[in-house]
Amino acid sequence: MNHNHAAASSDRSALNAMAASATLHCLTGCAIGEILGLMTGTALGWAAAPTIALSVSLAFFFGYLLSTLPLLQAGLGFFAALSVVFAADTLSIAVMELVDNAVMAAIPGAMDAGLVNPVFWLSMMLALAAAFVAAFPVNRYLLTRGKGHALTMAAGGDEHHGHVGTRDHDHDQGDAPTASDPAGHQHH
Amino acid sequence: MNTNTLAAALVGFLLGGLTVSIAAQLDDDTGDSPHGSPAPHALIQTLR
Repeated sequence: MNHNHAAASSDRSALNAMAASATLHCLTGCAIGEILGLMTGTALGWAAAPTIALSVSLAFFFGYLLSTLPLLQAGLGFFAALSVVFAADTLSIAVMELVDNAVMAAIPGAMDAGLVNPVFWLSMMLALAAAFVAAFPVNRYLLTRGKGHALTMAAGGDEHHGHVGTRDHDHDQGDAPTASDPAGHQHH
Repeated sequence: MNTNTLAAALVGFLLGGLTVSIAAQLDDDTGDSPHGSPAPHALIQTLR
């Protein structure tokens, strides 16, 4: 009984760690595009709408790019890698972009603040932190369903999850986490 | 490149941007204009 409880608790924390890692991975790609887009739009004095449009486009581009590269390195074909990444990352990136840009637009003066205005940088930090908090439960849910980054990991692009749970030296393909085995453990 | 390294670089970039922007604003606030005359940035803003 205690063993089951401990195992469930361990799986839960492994799942949370994987979800956090997947969210951070997603957020890194998003943030590169988002920061680049906002900086470009702000520096060129663009209005909020085109600045946000550029940021979202770049965020999706870099988000997908960051997930595609490990799959290509793992030997997957370009289009096969792209289809896995589209299925795995689209919802997570979309939630991040929605929250990130909503927070930026909601902070008074954040979109109009120049690059030498601390309001711009503080708003961006706050927006990215809010995006992480919003996307974490989404990635957690997707992992429990064997979707999201579970697909990327199953395809072999799991280099960024190596530290989670018992997967340190466990890079076998096809052991993506599922609802019954959220950490992707191999039970023998 | 490792994701954690990239994330750390991003955090560093954001903190760097914040630091530079605060320094620029402090520099503006303590501009070396003589007493009684408007600071350079105030003059530029007035002209706009």
